[in-house]
Amino acid sequence: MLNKVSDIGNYAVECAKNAMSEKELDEIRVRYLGKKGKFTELLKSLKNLPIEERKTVGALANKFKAELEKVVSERSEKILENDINNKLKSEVFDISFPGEDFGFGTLHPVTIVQKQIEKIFTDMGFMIADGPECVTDYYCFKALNIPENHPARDMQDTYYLENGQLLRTQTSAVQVKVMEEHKPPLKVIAPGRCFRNEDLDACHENTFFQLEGMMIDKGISISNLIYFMKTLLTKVFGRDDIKIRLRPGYFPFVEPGFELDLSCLICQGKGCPTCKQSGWLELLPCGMIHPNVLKYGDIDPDEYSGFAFGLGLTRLAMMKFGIKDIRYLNSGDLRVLKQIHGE
Amino acid sequence: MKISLNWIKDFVDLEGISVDELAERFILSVAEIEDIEYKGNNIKGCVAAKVLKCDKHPESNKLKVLLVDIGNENVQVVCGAPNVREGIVLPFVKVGGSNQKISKVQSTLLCGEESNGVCCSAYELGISDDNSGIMILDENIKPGTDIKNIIPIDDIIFEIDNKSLTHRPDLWGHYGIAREIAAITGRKLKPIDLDQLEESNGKLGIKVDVQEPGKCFRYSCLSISNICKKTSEIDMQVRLYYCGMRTKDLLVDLTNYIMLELGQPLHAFDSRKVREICVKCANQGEKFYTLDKEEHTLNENMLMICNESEPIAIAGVMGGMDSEVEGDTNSIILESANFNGVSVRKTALDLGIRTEASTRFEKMIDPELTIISIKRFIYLLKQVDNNISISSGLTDVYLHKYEPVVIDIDKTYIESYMGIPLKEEKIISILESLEFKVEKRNDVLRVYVPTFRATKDISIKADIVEEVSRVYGYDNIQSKTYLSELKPLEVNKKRDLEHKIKEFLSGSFGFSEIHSYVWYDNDLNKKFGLGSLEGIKIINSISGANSILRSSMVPSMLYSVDLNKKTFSEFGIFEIGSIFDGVLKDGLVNEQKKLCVLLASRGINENSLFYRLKGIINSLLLNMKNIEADYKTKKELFKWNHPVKSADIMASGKELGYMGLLHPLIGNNIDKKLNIAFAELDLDLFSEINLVNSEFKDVSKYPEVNIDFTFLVDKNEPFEKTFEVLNKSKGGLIKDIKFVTLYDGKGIEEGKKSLTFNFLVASDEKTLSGEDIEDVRNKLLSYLDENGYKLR
Repeated sequence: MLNKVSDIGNYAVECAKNAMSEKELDEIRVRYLGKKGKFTELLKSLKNLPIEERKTVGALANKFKAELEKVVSERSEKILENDINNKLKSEVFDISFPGEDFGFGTLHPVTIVQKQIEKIFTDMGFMIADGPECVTDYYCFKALNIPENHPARDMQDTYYLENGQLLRTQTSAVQVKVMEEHKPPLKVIAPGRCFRNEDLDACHENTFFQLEGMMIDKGISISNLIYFMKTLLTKVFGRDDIKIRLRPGYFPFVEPGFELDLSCLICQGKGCPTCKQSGWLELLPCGMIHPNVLKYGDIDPDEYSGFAFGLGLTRLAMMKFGIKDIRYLNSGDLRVLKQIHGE
Repeated sequence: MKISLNWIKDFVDLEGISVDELAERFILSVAEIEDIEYKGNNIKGCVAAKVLKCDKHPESNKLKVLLVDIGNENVQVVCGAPNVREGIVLPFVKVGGSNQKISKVQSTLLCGEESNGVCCSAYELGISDDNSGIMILDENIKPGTDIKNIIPIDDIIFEIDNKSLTHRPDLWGHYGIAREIAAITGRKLKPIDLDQLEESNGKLGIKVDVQEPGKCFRYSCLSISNICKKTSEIDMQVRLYYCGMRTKDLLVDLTNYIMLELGQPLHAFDSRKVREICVKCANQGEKFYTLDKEEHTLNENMLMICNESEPIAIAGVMGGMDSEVEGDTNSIILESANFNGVSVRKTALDLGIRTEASTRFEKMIDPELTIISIKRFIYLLKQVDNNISISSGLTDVYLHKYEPVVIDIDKTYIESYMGIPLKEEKIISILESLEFKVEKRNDVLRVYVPTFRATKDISIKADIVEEVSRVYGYDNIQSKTYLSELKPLEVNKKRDLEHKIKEFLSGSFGFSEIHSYVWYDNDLNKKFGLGSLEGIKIINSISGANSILRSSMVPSMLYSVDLNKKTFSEFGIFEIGSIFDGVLKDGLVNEQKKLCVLLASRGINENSLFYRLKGIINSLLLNMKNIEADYKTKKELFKWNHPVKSADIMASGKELGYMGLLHPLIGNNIDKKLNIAFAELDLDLFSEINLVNSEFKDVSKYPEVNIDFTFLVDKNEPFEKTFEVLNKSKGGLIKDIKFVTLYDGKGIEEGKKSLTFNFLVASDEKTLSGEDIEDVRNKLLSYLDENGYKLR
């Protein structure tokens, strides 16, 4: 009996080891391990044997059964693996075929630059203020030390509204409003839309974005202004070899007023067509807040001083992304806007 | 404004300072130089030549063949100028030289005659627009003399940005610029030569009656007679030309010269036409011819200079045609006045004439200049015409004298403003170089502002800081950080929300942010069938096209759709921008911030597009504020709203905005095959909604089972009603019910639609057995049946 078990067992294991397909293995499973399989029958027939023999034959049969199961399962895995490998050998796939088109969204170039600059300033503890686009003459001019008939009003062609208000010509219109609502020490920026009543061309828009900034506290000086402007530009242009210079500039709401020039990034200040051979790019107007403006904001100019600056966000976005025609920015033309990706 | 360095050198010694260095210092301390022109650079090898012989050209009627003496030799040259003749001396460019027109003169044959050089007109020398004939020089000039030793052709012109001089009346003349240059280079400013007007002593002055002391601050004049010389010297002509002035005759040139030198506009009236002067306002509607022969209609605010009562000049703007000096004028009344800049500016603006004079008066020039300018005029006139006589006394009506400006300032103030330490002597020396007088009084410096800076430019301490710091050099101020108390930053929640929305729409749903104009384009509105939209008006738009402010952003978005519809078959755009919804009780514009989102598609049908946008808004509200919205049938419809497929969006008890499809009639006008859905949300309201706190509920530890039911519902039953019915079955083992799909196509009974819902079944206490689940299924089935929902 033991021999018979060994013979069946060895034969079955041998068959399983050499099986070439899952189908063959299935036959082996049915023939030996199934309900009517040889091992099942064999084990059923044990009850006819004497106790002693029953034990040894039973143990041997179970051993073979276990071995066979193991071999079958190993062989099955092997066959599957071979099948997959064989299939892979002949598989052809075109990875160059386009992926599914989910499209992509874009932020407006001005938003990209605005966010970057807001981050730089909020990191330095500046708060962000907002102001309306329709303002009164008071906030846009009078409180900024620009009385009626002042020639400075000529420089800013203003859109006047039927109710006597106007569309702000500069984000500086936020200055005195902010002073009324917050007391120094004050560190604030205010980005926003501005309007000038002029004809459009590649360099002129009637609607554009500026970013106003100001800082008011005891003892704020020109050297502080230089520090913050330098830091701003270092971050904006992502390089620490930024050179700036201040030169006199006239704006009624600052005294002294400056034009801030940036050493030309293209020629490193040697002179090129972009900077009209001067080596410098005129970048932003700034200055020490005029004492009259502080007074309008109910801040004592004998106690406090401050600086303010106005950054042309639209112009900066154009510089950053190499947009040559300013009119693209308000066009709503997706062929343009979909090209610009921010960080 | 153009500044001649030759002219500046009359007043400051610039020896040893390079032009580039000077320009840089000037830019950093005074004003922007837009351009530097090197005059005379292209005039080379030009000498005085005497015409020895002038013969007709054998082959040409126009040309002449000359033999000219150029000092060391006689050469033959062909010349076509009509005014060339024997005996004159003219500028002559030798072979190898150059002039304004010819970069290298060569020996040539002109119609067969040899020509070795070029005779020049003033235009060809670059010193005039006159190209009518060759320039004739003084006959006593020795042939061969370098032309540049005769005429100051070589000069360097700084073109200064006028805008950077708006606040500086003192810089509208060479002398003022020279003063600045002296200060920034540490050189001495030479005094200006003046006549002392001794001749006028004891003579009767011209009668002047100023009736408008608020508009005419000072009126000085005298009369000069026996002026015989008619033209100005070439040196003066070249300077005027280089500075952008047309030369005319001696008197006009001289008044212009004084204006460019001292910044004081002068006016010369022909004495024959003017007897006594009255300064008063014009009559409303009165007509007046200016000297450029233009007719102007005056108004009663315009200040006029009158001969008795007859207007002869618009004060500070332009003289009149009738009193203009003419060729035979030999005696004049010279006016040197100071007018209120505001009034001059208004008159010039109203008449649409801006002149060199009005530009200067607008800046509020120093009244002290009137007499100095007359003295300078006489001095320069006498230089060229020694026989003139001053035929009247000096009239000087000085009605408005500016208060002297005295400012007390201390060193620490200047230091703290500039942010650097400074020596007191340095401060004093800078201020004195600019002609401020400084008195030391213990720690205080008492600064007396010179009259030419005291009309409006300098009035407070900060102005003094500017003077000190700009001359000290802004580039000498080091950068310094700022120390302050650390405190948490006040967050601008609205701005944060804006950025989050922008990121969300562009990042998650592929929208592109656009920027649009805040006004309507009524041409497009009409094209779209929206008609002319009304709104707050802009009253002075120069283009006219943009005169109505928008009260909704939807039209703006449609303009962008119109632009993009051809290129893109499917796109989403959005903008956060302002709208202007009428005027509030306080008279101010009701300005609101809106978010406008728009989807356009050719492939997606309009109903699906509606629900897609609705889904996006739902996601937006959940993401930003953890809230859900209610969509109600839109109450108030705008022209662009689809009358049926539009909804008001209610959230947290507020009407947040609306969404829906574009009205099909409008859609047809834009693009028949493009479906368009949009939403306009009130961003101010949106940002006021508080984020709903997240409430955590524990999740079941036991396996969950999903059961789907598909059943038929009456076609017109609103989803929200079906859902409400189903939701009543919630509770116990039924944890959640979700909509899966709608089918109302083929095979569905007439008047019905098929809905599939998913029921999430789970117990908090045990793993559900097959029987438990069967039980739930049966209960649900009978519940559906009870409510008339037949399983499909």
